[in-house]
This record gives sequence, C-alpha cells and structure tokens, in this order.
Amino acid sequence: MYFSAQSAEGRKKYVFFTASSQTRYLIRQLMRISSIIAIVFITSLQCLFATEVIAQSTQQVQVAIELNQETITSAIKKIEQNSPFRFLYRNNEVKNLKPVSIPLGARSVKETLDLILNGTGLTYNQVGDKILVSKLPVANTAESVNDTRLTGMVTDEIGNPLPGVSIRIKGDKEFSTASDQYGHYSVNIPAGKTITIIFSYVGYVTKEIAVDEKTNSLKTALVPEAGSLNEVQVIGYGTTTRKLNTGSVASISADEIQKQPVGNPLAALSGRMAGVLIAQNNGIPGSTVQVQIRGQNSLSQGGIPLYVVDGVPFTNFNGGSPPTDNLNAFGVSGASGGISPFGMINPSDIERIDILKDADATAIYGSRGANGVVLITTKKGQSGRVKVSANLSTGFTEVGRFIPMLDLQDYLALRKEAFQNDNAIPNATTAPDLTLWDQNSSTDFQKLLIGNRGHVNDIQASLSGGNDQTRFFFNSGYRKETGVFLGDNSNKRFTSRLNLDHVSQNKKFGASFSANYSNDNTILPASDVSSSYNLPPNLPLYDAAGKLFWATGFTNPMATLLKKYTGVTNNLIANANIKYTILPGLTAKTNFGYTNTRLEQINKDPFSSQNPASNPVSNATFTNLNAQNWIVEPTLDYNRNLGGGKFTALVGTSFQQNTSSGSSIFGNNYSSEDLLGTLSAAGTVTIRYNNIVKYKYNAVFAKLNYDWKEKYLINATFRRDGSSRFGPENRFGNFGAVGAAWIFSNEDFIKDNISFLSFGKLRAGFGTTGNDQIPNYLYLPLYNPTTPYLGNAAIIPSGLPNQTIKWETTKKLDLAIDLGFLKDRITFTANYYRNRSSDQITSNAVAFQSGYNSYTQNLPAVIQNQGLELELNTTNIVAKDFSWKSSLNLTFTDNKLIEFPNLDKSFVSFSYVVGESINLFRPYHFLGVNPANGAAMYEDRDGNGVINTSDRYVADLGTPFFGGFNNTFSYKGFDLGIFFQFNHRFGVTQILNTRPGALTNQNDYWLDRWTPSNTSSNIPGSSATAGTAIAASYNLYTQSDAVYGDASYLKLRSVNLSYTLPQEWLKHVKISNASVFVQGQNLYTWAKNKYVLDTETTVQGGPPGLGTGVISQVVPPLRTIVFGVNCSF
Amino acid sequence: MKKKYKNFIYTILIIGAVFTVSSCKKFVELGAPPTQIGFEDAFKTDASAQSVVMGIYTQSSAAVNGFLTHVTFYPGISSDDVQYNGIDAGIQEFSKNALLSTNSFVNNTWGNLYQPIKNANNAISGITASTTLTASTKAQLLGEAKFLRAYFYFYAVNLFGDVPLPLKDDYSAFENAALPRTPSAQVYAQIIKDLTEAQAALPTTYAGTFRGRANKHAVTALLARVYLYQKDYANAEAQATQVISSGTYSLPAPELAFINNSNEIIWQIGNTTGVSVPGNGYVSAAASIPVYSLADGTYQSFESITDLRRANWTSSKTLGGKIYYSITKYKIGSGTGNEYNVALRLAEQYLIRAEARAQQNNLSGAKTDLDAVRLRAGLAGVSATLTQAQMLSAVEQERKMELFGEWGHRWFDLKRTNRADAVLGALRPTTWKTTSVLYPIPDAQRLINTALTQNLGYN
Repeated sequence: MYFSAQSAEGRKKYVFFTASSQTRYLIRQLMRISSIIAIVFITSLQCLFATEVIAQSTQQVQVAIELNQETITSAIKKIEQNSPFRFLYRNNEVKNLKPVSIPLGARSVKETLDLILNGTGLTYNQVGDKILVSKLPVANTAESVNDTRLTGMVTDEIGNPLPGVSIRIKGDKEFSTASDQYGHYSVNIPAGKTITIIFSYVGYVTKEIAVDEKTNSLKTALVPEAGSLNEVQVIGYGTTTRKLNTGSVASISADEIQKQPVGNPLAALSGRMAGVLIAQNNGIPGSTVQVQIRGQNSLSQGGIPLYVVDGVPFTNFNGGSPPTDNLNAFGVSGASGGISPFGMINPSDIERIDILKDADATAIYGSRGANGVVLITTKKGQSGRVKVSANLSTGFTEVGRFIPMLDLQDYLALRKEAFQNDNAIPNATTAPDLTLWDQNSSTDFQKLLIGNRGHVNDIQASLSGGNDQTRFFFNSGYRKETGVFLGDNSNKRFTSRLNLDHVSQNKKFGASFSANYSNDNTILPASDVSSSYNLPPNLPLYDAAGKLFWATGFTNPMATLLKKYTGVTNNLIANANIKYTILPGLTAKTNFGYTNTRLEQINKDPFSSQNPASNPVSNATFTNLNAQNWIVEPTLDYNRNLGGGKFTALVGTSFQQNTSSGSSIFGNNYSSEDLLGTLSAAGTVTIRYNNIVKYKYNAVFAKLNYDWKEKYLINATFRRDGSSRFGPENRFGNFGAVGAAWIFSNEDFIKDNISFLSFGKLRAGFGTTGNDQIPNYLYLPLYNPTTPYLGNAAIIPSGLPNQTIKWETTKKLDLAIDLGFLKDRITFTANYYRNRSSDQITSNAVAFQSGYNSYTQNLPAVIQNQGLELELNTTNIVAKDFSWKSSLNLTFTDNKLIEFPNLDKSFVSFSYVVGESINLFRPYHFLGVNPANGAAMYEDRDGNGVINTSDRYVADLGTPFFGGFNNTFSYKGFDLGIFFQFNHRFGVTQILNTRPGALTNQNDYWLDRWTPSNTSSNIPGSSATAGTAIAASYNLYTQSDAVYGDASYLKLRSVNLSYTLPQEWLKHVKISNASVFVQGQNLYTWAKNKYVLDTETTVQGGPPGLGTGVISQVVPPLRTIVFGVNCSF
Repeated sequence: MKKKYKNFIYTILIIGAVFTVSSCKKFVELGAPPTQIGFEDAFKTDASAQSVVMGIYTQSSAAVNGFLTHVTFYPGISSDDVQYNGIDAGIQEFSKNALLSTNSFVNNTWGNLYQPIKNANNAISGITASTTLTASTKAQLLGEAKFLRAYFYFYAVNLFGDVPLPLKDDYSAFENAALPRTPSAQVYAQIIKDLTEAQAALPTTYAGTFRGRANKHAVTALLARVYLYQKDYANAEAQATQVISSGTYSLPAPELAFINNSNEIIWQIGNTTGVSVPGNGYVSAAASIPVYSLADGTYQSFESITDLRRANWTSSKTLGGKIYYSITKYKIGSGTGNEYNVALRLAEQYLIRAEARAQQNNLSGAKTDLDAVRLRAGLAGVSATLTQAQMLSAVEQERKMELFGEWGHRWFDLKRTNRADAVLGALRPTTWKTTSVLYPIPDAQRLINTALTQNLGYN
C-alpha cells in the first residue's frame, strides 16, 4: 500500500523543521490525526471515481482463503487477490500483531475480516471498494448539557465526502476530532459563544469558519492545495491528480494568479512553470504575451500552443498565417504592437491554468498538440449559501528603469569631438544641435515620453452559490489601466462571466453552461514613442510661436503622440456541456462551444501630426477582424474495476470550424481632423485588403487508462485528425502516445525500508503530435485578386500549390521522477524531455523560370529540443502561527537542428546550420579599437584581408536556462509572497541606431570611447560624417558581438502582502471574509545589461527566438503596485 | 452484468458506425475561400478569364523593382545611354559592364521576366481548355496573352541569350523549373509564332480605356521589331508599314508624346497612379541628384540645340559642381499623374522601317522614314546623298537620340549590330569584355536548376 504512518514514528524528524517548542501542539495534533491520514489520502483520490464505482458489500463477496500462522498483512494480501477489495491500513499498526491462522473455507469478506481482526484492537470500514483498517475509535469526551451540537460535513472541492479531516476549535487546545468516512463530524458550541472551526487536512487548504449556536448545519468544501499530490489537474478531456498523472503537466491556480496585478492572465505565468518560456512583447496594456512550451519546434510555421478555455479551443484568432497569438493579424496596430486575445479573459475568472507538455498529455490533441496545450479552467459555483465577493484595488504603473543617457553637455562634447575627428566644421546643415539649438536647456526624452505614472483600478464583484444540484458563479469585472505615455492613453476592460452547473437528483444527468463576454477599449498613441529615447537632448519640440518644431531628419515625438489608435474588442465565449450516465461507469458527454471575437481598430493620422513641409493630409485606417469558432465534441467515458485495478476509457470525436474575416480600409484626404473617426468623411477610400478564411477540423480520439492499485499506471492515447489545411492526399493523420508511471513508494519494500520517502513515482511517455499552424489553402491552385488593370478587375495566381502538404510531426519523449519526502513536505520533480520535430513546412527555393521562386513543402529537416526541468517545493517551517514555503523551478534547454537535407540549396542556407540552434545568429567578431584612428576592428576569420560575410561565426541566440523562485510566508493573518524570476541567455545588449557622433544621443557606455587622447579604449570613437574610417567601421558594429552578449537577468517579478482580518471582528459586520493587500509586479530587475529598457521584451519580427532581444526600444513590462481590499459576504 | 456489457458494446458500435458513416472526410473539405477563385473556375466566364489576362498586365506594371524597372534602367546604364548616380555596388556592376553571376538585380530581372510568362502560360492553357468562353473573348484574350508572352520572351532572349522556354501551365511547374536553356533561335521562333497568332486573333481596335491592352497594331509593331532584330528586313519593313500606314497613329510634338492620350502610343502599360516607371526613376527634386540621368555623351550628341528633344526631353542642373542631365520624357516622378509606361510608339516603327529599308538599300525610303522622326524633333532632313553605310549610321544615331532612356533600346541596338565592342569597349576599356553583351545566368538559379549553363565570360 502506498502510505504508512511513519509520521507518528518520525516525530523526531519534525524537529528538524520546527521553529520552536510551540509547535508541539501541532505535532500532537498531527499524531492524533495520523491514524486517519492514510485513509484520507487515498479516499480523497478515489472521490473522483467514487460515484461511478459499483461497490459490493463485504457481506456479499465470498473469498476462500486459508491462513497458517501468517501476518495480518499477508492475510490482507490474500483477500485482495481473491476479491475486488483493496485495503488501506497503516503498516505500523498491523506490523507487530500476532500471526493468525484460519482454516480453509468459503466465507464472506466480512466474516473473514472479523476473524482476522478479532482482538487486535483494529476495526474496518468499507468505502466503495476500499476497506479501511484502523484502530477502534476513542470515545468522545463528555459534553456540556448546555451546548448546542452542530453536525457538519466536509467534502472535497467537487462535493465528495472527505473522511479524516482534522477538526479543531480555535483557541481550544484540547478539542480535536476528525470527520468520519462520510465526511461527517460534530462539534459542541457553548451557549452564546462564537467559535471558529479549523478544518485541516494534508494536501488541502486549511479553512476556518466561524459558527455560533444558531448555526445548525454546516457543509464545508476543502480545496486541494496547489502543488500537493492531491491537486486535481485538468488534462485533455478529463482530470487527474498530480499523483496519478502519467504525463507532464505544469499548473498554476487562481491563488497564484490573483496575487499578481496583471491584466493578461498569461503574464502571471512568467517564470512559474518549468519548461514554459513567457515573453511579453512590451508593457503597454493589452499587448501580446507569447508563450513557448519546451522550445521552438518549427522552422517557419506557427509555434504557439493550443489554447483551450473550458474545453473550447481559443486559438487561430486572427486567421492570419502562420497564426499568432495576436489579434492584429495584418500588421495594423497601435503602440502596443498587437492586441492579445487573452486580454479578453479576466484573470479573476480563472480557476486554474494547466499546461500540457509531453506526448502523453498532448497527443490527445493530435495535430495541434506539438507546441503544447494551455488549458484554462474558469471558476465554478460552490454549493452553499449565496456568497457575494468583492475585490477592489487601485495602484500605479511606471517604467521600472531607464537607460542612462548622456546629458546635454556630454552629448555636445561627443558631437564636437566627432567633428574634430572628421576634420570637419559643424554647420547649420550638419549640426543644428551645435549651431542652432539651445546649448543649455535639454529634454530628458525618456522621462518626458514614457516617464509618466499610469493608474490601475480594478473592481471585481462575484456572486456564487447554489445547492447540491445547481450551482452558479457570476463575476463581473472592470479594469482601467492608464499608460505611461505622455497624454491620454488607457485600456478599459469590462468582463462578465456566468457559469452554471446542474446535476439531476440521481446524479445521472448533468449540464453546465458558461458565457463570458468582454469588452475592451484601448486608446494609445499609434506608435511606441519610447524609440525616441535617443533624440538629441536639445532638440526643440516647439518653435517660438508655440507650434510643433520640425527639424530635418526628425519626427517630433509630440506629433507622434497626436496620432491616435483606438481598438475596441468584443469577445463572447459560450460553452455548454451536457452529460448523461447511461450505465454505472459509462457516461456520455457532449461539449458545445462558440467563440466570437471582433476587433475594430482606427488609426488616425491627423494633418496636425504631420510635417507641414510635406503637404500633409489627414487620413485614417480602419481595420476590422471578426473571428468565429464553433466546436462540438461528443465523448463517451467508461470506467470499471478490472483485474484488481481501475480501467478508464474515453472515446470521442470533434468537429470544429473557424471563420475569420478581416478588412483594412484606408480613408484619405479628410477635410477635417475631427471627422477621422468615420469613413464617410474621407475624400478617397481604398480597400487595403479583405481576407476571409475558413478552417475546418475533425477528429476521432480515444484514451485508455489503467491504474493497478496506484502502483502501476498506464495511459494510451490515439487521435485521428483531419484538417482542411491539408490536401486530399494527406488530409488525415494519426497521432498517439503511451505514458506509464510506477509509483514505487506504494511498494512495500520501499515503505518498509525508506521511511523518509513519502512519495516516489517514475514516469515515461513517448508519442507523436502534430503542428497544423500553417496557412490555409496551401494545397489549392488559386487566383488572388490583385490591383485592377486600367479599371478592369485582375487576378493572379496566389502561389504554387502543394497537394501533398501535411502537418509537421513532433515525436516527444519524456522521462521523469517525482519524489516526496517527509510526508511530502519536500517534493521534487526532475523531468527530461526530448522533442524531435520533422516534416518541417518551409518555403523552399524553386527555379524562378517556373514563375515562382518558392514552394511550400514538408522537408525532412529535424529540429531537436531537449531539456531538463527541475522543480522543488518545500515546506520549510510549519508552526502554529507561522509557515514558510518555497518553490523553485529551473529549466535547461537545448535547441538544435539535427538534420536538413540540401540545406545549401535552400533559401535558408544562410539562416541555419546543421548541429546548431535554429535561433542562431552570425555576428562578426569585434576585436576592439584601432588605437591609431578609433575605428572598430573585426576579426578576418578567413584571412583574405577583407571583412566580408564569410568572416561571421555562428552564435546561439537563446536561453540555456531559466526559472523562478517563490517564497510564501504566513503569520497569523498575514501572507507574504516573494517571487523571483531569472533567465540566462544570449541576446542583444546594446541598441545602437546610429553611430556615436551622428545627430543622435547615446547612452553613457560611450563616455569611455576612443578619443585622440584616450587611444587605449575598447570602445570605438565618434564620427559625425558618413564615409570616415570610424563611421565606416560602425557599419558592421550592430552585426557584431559588440552588441550581443550576456543578456541575463534576475527579476523581482512579484511581491504580495495581504492581511486577513480575524473572523471574530468580521462576524459583527456580517462579513465572512475580508483581507487587505498590497501587490507589486515587475518590481526590480538586476540585469547585466543596462542599455536596453528590458531584455525580456520580444518584438515580433525581431531577432529569432523568444525573448532573445529587441530590435528597437519598446515600453518594458511595467512596475505595478496596487493596494486593495477583498471581502466576501 | 451481462446486459451492461451488451449495452456498452452496442454503444461502442453505434459510435463507431457514426464515425465511419458520417464520413468526416466531407466535413474537412473546403473549397476556395470567398476571396479567391480556384484555378479551373477562373476560366469559366468571360469576365473572370479576362481578369486573369489583366493580371498579367498588372504584374508586369508593378512600379518598384518590377520588370519595367529592370528593363529600363539596367540595360540603359549597361550601354552609353543612361548614367547611374547612386552608390549601390550591385547596380554599379551594370554601369561597369562587370556583372557578377551573383548579382541580385540580375536574379530579380530573371524572376520578373518569368513571373508574367508564367501568368501568360496559365492564361493560354486555361483559356484554350475552357469550353464556356465566347469565341470572340477567347480569341481576344488568347491574342493578348500570347502577345504578352512574346513580349517578355523578347526581353529574356535579348538580355540573357539562350533561355529556358517554359510554355506549360502551373500543373507542370516542376517540369518548367527543370528545363535547360533553349537556343535563342528557337526562342525567337516561338516569339514569332505567338505574335503571328496574336496578330490574327486581335482586332485593330483597343479594348478598354487608353491603349493599355494590346491590339493588332501593338502585335504588329512588336513583330516588326522582332524581325528587325532577326535581320529579316523585308518582314520588318512589311510589319512596320502596316502600323505606320494604318492611319491610327501620328507623331505629336515631343512634349506631348508620352502623355496618356498621345496619338503616338501604340501600347502603354498602365498602372493605378499614372506615374510611369521611367518618370519615377528619372524625375528628381530640384535640389537632389537624379538617381538615373542621361549619359553626358548622349546629351552632347544632340546635333543641334534646336533639337526639340533636347529642349523637351532633357533638362540640366548643377549640383556639387557637377552637371546632371535629367531625362524628362515623362514629367511626373511621384504622386499621381497622367503618364503610363509607353512600351511601343510610332517613332520606333519609322526607325525600324528606315533601318530595314536601308539594309535593303532603299535609301530614299529610309530617308523618308528618318526625316519623319527628325521633322517632329524640329530638325532638317538627312542629306539625300548618304551611302548605305552612312544611312545605317544615321539610323543608329537617330535611334540613340530618339529612344534614349527607353526600355534598353540602345543596349540592344549596340548588341544586335555588333557595335558594342567598338562603342562600349572604347568607353570602358578596363572592364568591357566582348562577352559582356549578355548578362550572366544568375548563380542562384543555376544552383537550383543544375541544367542551366552559364554564358561565356562568367563563372
């Protein structure tokens, strides 16, 4: 059996952790409840299946066994072999009992057990097919006659009774009881008093409830603690627990999400999950967050995970190809560079996010599982009294750090020196900054443009409740976040969600519905003005008349700020799930889902924001997207006991359709700036594009799972997929995986010999998944509309079709060990993975004489992603009022192109090298500075005397390891969480737009540059004139390792402190729970590189590889600090 | 128990049946999206088939870095006609006659020729196979597509010599991609075949607005040029005569020659802006150096300052102490305008016939044609006493002064008359090689299609 009560014997071991002798009480409690812990542990797991199991009574089942001076353990084993029952008992309780003998004969299990256990002081209870063997209960203490007796029931989060929950009364050191196998318990309440009942149970969150004599019955649901082995994890088409999972799944719960003041739930995942790399494109509200799970699997196709919200795929948002997790499909956006569809999902609605990583977990998603699957589960109602909760918070955002730039005097000195170096004399054309503009007053452009404080206000109100049959949850939230840009810019989001669950009286029929509507309004500058950070500090912004100043070669950032972008997104996610239990163990379910996303954007380019010298006219671009997605998924679930184990099967089919239409219309020659919001006022109207894309998808899938006594688990999945993206020849494909796990800690030889090991599991998985994130219609010969010819409509071939195109295939291998020590106070997971992705869909060169220069085809190129993920969770201190928990995750990654036939003939021959990462970069090697003239020097690697492209070497842009470190402390009502994230990588360390000495400010790195008097510097000199030796030497500078290097960082990603007001205080004001909190996000960054605002940001279209750098400055993820209150009634 | 199993098995069977019967294959079949049209469907109606042919015109008129850019400027600077004032090393290779086979502009030129050829091949194949088009539309569209195919092959064979000759549609794309080079004589034979067929199919009237779509005269004009290049002087004269004597065209004053409604235009390639590719490349802002300008030598070759072409088609400005002569045949360089790309015009037909007649020793006929062009330029006629050689030389000179800056005429003239060595060898003695008359077959193409051989003088 899987667990024995070493806890009682291992009392001394706790000393190791205990902070003081005050914890004795706790230990005593632990000892007391230890007798039930074993029962509890297993039963809670079984709760999931309890309703489906066909239980037979111990009186009905006959066994014929003979015992001859055998131990109780051996007797129990014999019964197990001959009956469907499984026994739960504590090794130390049965270990030293006298051997028993009974003659051979057919008896009922009950009779047999009565014989065996007679006189041992042990008793037994049947729960389903489990028989719990435990010591006879101790008689209750005497009760006061005046007391009211409260009977209650404790359940798990889905309503199944939870036996063995420790029940104590706050402040009463004597009283202690536990729930029975039906979850029932009773407590005496002294007359006229209010007492607080504390429910605690290993692996579940401790709950306190205040009751008084008027309370006549109480039903309490405990929720598993995140990270505990009992935590229910959502997987493809079902759930499992961390303990029994054969696959590799990373999870985050509502608790962790809500402690972070983020607008986009994906931003809350950063650094918290092993193997998952998150990069924010920028810190502007509404911007896109990119998620990469276990590396980049595709050379050129989509690399985004499959997102599933409550069973409904939430992906292929824009109909663009390859799909991006960006609603702005076709390059029209505001300063944020894109709108994340996840901005539509209120983080407060989310119950948990589970990320499926390996083949075992993802193969059930077939051709869409290669990049991993992100399952978002929203909150459901809880039965009981209607609960009203409100959460209000307010705070501010700001840019956490700025680039140290040269001040005006240093800048002017640099410029003058540059002209001296060139032997040139500055004049009004070449140097207005030295000759025309003010030499004393300057502007700090970073502070001016992005140095403002934004404000965040967030209001959430929810209503939940219901009874055993019907439960509801309704949450409405409003969030307004203003930006850091100068001027009015904000993001406002309103969301509402209703989740409704119903089960029939006999529990056979169940239905759940959910609807989520959100409306998001973004007003931003049309472009990110943080790229103006390096304007000459004395560049005038206004002329003497107070009008915008326009200097040759400069765009006035104040004018840029006048170009406004508005984006309005409306999103509806509706979902219905109906299930019916046809027979015990056999359940039919159907999931219906519908999502509709509409994005309406206007980019205004008013006359007043443009340089009057170029005869500007007001214009505006209207870009809309309407994406609809529906899915129907009938499934059939079957589970039964088989051969002493538990067998589960699932078959299902899936029909899905996506339609997305987008258009962009350009209105020009407006007569008035005030009318830019309407197309009808435009002088001329041009349709830029109008795309309508359909995608259809169908699959059949099956999953078999067998769990033999929670020791041996095997899980097999199969999926046959059809996708409209592929030609008739390869439209359908098969995917599958096998996962297996061995919980060796449930073996007696481990239990008996390694007492400190409370949990041990080895698991392995192998299988194939696919990637269908490719353009639609690649296989069809099509004509596209093109520019009309002299008023006649015209069409041209869209490309060379490929009838045989098929998905990219990823073979995933996963090996892992999960360990728990000291009753799981320490849990550790080490996970090795190796993904090999082949059939890469790439654009391949074809001789131009065919009329095409490229052809999209599957290439037998193979990309390998391998890595090691380590997770360590520890409960460092548990004392009466104080606890400290830590968790650490660390991921090592390695990406490599292992095969690419005929690479030299392909388009990408310069982009990839077999044996190297696909995110490679070819820099020149910077050698330093020629002391004679201040020019940068590069290594002539081929020794031919000239520096040309063959002198570049191969460098890997990427992240060799990353991770996060979380600590949570609680003391009485206080909770403190401190989370660090770290990322080691090679990336951009300097953004050099123009060489030093040109009409651009530089950062303070250049203070130590080469000058005629500082010839030993390793930083090249300055030049104001194109064509000088120094200027020419800068041509290769940004392609050299002078600007690439160690871009590692450590971030204090989030800190939260909350104080839960004592129940006693709240009772009088009818508040059941209240807390005040302060939360901070992106608080501080320690980075090797101070010349990039934030190395975390990844601009789409920038250097390859997620989070490897930036191509221009963008607003970094913002430091956010909010204060708030949370209360429920 | 047994009943339960039975039920379970039934359920499984039913589900299995649903899976197989409902034939999920149907579900994931999708036709063309609403914004596109399938290959076969494109040739079902007259209007749709016409839009395919319009697509060939559109694709050839792409303003930036399209075919027109490639045949206007690069051959221009390869000869002594146009001067490049930019700093792009790749373009400078043209003006030094020192092209490398890795030159990306040459590779793009190659691609920009074959792209419309592919569109024409698809159109010809689709229109021919279609059974639903009306006869007149079918003839008209086939005529235009064949004319266009011939037009692009004409440039291909003149720029590169022997070139692959794909004539099949996209269903044979990979076959097309693997073809070796076809001897230029065969390419010319195909050009003449296409033009002859187009000539028979097309009416003398223009379809659509302006003269943007080829009519019979446009085909004839190109055929005249092709025969001239082939040294088939009798046919060249005959074809040119058909155009000249059609009465459709006349020679307006030079300043009006390139405006959209000019009566000199035989075929103009339209676009959406009305700004021509030469206009875009030659016209420059007052204070900036034109990227491409008229070669000093050509400017100085105007025999008289009264040559209206000097006054109307050129201008000069001094920048940084250097004089630049702008080509101002087209007046508009950006924005919107009323000048399409004039690909075929009447003056060339006179010059073709003059040369053909001179070659056939019809010197008085040659003088008449030459004088027609000179008269429009405000010049006196040529001497009546010229010998045949002098007359040919006069034709060459007149072509230089009339057709400068247009579609590589000068480059092709020097090449086909074997005068390139003498003229360009003298101009660029260090870099000129006899083999420079042909551009290299791009390396990138030879890498993919190993059947392609290289031109002499390149590696």
